[in-house]
Amino acid sequence: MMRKPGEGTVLLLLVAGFTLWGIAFVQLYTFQAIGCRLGWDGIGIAGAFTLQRAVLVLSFILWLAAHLALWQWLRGREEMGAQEGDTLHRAAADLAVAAFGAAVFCFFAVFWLSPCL
Amino acid sequence: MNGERNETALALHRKLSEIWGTPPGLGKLSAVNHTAVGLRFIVTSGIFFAIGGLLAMLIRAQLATSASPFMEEGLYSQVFTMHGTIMMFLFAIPLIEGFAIYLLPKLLGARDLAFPRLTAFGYWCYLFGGLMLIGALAAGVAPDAGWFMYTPLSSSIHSPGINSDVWLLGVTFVEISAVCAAVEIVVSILKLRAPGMSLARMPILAWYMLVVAGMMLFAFPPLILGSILLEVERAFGLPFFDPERGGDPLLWQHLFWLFGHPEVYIIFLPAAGVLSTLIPVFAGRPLIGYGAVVAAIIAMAFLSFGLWVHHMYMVGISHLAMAFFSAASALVAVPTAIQIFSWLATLTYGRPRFNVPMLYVFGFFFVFVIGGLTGVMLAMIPFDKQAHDTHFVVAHLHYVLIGGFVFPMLAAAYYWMPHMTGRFPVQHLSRAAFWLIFVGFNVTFLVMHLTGLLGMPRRVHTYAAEAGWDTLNLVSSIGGFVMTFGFALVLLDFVLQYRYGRAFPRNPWKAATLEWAMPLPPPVYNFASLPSVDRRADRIAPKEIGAHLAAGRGYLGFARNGQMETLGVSITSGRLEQLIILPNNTFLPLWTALGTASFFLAMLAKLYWAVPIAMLLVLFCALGWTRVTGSQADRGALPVGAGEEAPPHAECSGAPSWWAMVFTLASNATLYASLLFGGLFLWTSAPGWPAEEPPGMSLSLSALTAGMIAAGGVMGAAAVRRAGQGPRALLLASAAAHLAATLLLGWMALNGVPDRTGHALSAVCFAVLFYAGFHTALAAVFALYGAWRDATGLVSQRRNLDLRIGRLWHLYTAVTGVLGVAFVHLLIAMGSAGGAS
Repeated sequence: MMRKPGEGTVLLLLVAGFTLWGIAFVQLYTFQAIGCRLGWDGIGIAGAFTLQRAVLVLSFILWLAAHLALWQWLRGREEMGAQEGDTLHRAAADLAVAAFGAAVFCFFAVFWLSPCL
Repeated sequence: MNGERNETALALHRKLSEIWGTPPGLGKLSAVNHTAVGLRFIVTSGIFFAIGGLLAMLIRAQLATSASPFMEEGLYSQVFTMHGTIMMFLFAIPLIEGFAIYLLPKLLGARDLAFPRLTAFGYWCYLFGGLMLIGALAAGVAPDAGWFMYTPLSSSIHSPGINSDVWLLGVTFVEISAVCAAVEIVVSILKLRAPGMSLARMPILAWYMLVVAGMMLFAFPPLILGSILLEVERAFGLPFFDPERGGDPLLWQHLFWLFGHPEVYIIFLPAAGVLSTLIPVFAGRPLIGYGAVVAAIIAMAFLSFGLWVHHMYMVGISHLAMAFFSAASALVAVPTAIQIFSWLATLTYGRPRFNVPMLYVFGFFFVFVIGGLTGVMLAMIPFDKQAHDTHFVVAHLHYVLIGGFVFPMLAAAYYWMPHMTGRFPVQHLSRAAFWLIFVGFNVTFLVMHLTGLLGMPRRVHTYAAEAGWDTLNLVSSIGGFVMTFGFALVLLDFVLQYRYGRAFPRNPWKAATLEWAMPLPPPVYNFASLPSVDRRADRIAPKEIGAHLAAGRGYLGFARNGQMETLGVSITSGRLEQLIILPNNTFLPLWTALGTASFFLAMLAKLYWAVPIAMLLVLFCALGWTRVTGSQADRGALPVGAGEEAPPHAECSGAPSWWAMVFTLASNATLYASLLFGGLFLWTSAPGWPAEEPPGMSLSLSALTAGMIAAGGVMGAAAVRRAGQGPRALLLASAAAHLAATLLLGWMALNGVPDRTGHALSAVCFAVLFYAGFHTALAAVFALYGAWRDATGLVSQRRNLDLRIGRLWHLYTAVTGVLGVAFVHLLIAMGSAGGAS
């Protein structure tokens, strides 16, 4: 009757990196749209650096930090990984690195591209 | 000694055949066995493929020259719309489902899938939904707004007939089948494997199907929601997509492509799984980079959800948003390349045997790589703006879909036909058929890239002779007919194999996976006893293990009380966990699907008074499914052979049906999130906001409603702790609270949103409240059902599965209901305040 601890944990680890990437994607895309709707792009902070840009850049940096933290944590788990799950623990860590790369590649344009045009 | 063993094996075979067999005559319609239902899916999808192919021939006949008087414009619209619709919804996805349904239990060392009746129900939904669409085609009222069904073309103002309704209702009906199959496949892969088969030991095809089924759970709900909203707009005037009343046609495009792009990978990945299975067999060595391939398909699944807007570059999206989607579109080439290099490395380091399936594998490499490259071209915004809506895009998508799906699936057909028929191919026609398809395909579509680059738009029924596209189109049409001859030859080849192929008892390809460790064609129960797996499941020796299992020396090598039994394992380690007792053959899936069909037909015929009756009929049939489940007494651990014991699944925390509810709710949550996204999208982007006359909601009534929803959910969930000690009072109180919440939500929807057709804000609020009300009503049913099960002695502290499944629904209803009420208030506040629009 008791639930075995950790049932399906490896599956969660496998999808952790790209789940983070997916949440980052949704958050950045949503804030881009909401910011444009609320006129954040017209609120200057420092020169041409607008509130819209600040929110997106800050979000981007925080998401990269979260990806790196996840990768570090998964590497720790990989080293401790049981023999049985080695392949999948390694795959989970690889996926976290890939998700970090995907986040840089997909969202780097927040620094310069026009968010509302 | 051997004679005795054979006699024992034969007696076991007879007993198991009697239990698992399909009745003769009309009784065949009651079959729920995965082999029978899987083959039905495959054959039915083949018939739809033939119909879709014939429509393609009509298209090519029409476009062969600029002076073709073959079809008038309206008929041509129906033909190209139905060609796309059939190929995507009635051929590709159901073929994948059928393939998975037939094969997975055999690959995983199980006797059936987790929910055989759901499998059968899914098949009937697919068949009836498909017949709705084909019937409309025969009656001349088929959908004609393109297979994307873009609004406003598909809205009632431009498509006043029932053509678009047929698409929206028919495709949604078929999608029920897809979601059922997705739940079935995910749970079966996670829970119904041979003991010892950990996740890391699964055959690679199971990984592909797990990822694909997971994608289906999250990709289909946005389209189901979009179809419901558009049908509601067409039928009742709620303006979700009408820009003159605060709606936005782009909302449809977002919902459609949120499904549509992952759909491409949902189609491609099973085919890639076939390649990852076949190539090692014919290379004579295990797949190189198993772990990397698993990682690649997971990455691909996620990335595929981040590229839907690349179908919408032309609609006016900001540079930054387009950059997100363009980058993700280019990035998806990386995990694809990992798989391709894994296959090439496996071939390079192996000793390839060249056979008919391998011909199709090479056909895949040639065609798909070209399709992939043109895909990267189209992912680049400047190029896409030049090629948008031209025949270049048509050529690209056919290279991807035929290269990435049809060629591998033909390889799969040649590879597993001996498994299905027990006969080895004659193969006199096989090679000729391949070359006709390969040459015909490339003649048709390679040339079409040029037609597109010369500017020929897609979906036109004719073109001017001065455009200079005649020669290229004629060549394409000739190629199309050559390809059709190839497919006809494949069909003939299969018939000859079925009829005259030489009998082959076991493993003709010298494969190393479990499905070949059984006599061919497979017995209805798959394995006379179930294997124990101690290595990766693509490295076993089918000959040795097959004889061992046939003699009943594995798990469950006996028949018990006429029950259909298989084993359940823990998700990660594959440790033996539970004895799963499956339901016998029954007509209930057929009746339930007929009830569902009556719902869709009543909607199509605009007999709205009959819709609630049809819904009650479906509920009544669905409750009938529970008559054979449950037990009056705790049974504890039972012997399962090999000296081991396991409790029945109803007494286990990780029972398949519990997991099924988890995944169903995850899929449901995606639909709900899409609805909330729709509301926010309209607020941010649609014209006509803020609303001039926003709905008015009483805060106190909303608070009371939210409280009632939460109370119903909490009491329903808390009943689990009282299992065996009288949970009925809590369940009845929960049902009462849920019913009260339903009435309150109904009151809010009808009185708080009086003018639902005036503005999209009101329409969205109404939809959110309706969603919450529908769930509270069903939560009341769950609570009453739990109370009834308890009253009939089917619930105890150990046997609390019904209540635990109900708890998931109660909690989901509470969270989404309270969130929905809050969202409505937030949207009204935002949507009635001043804004840029």
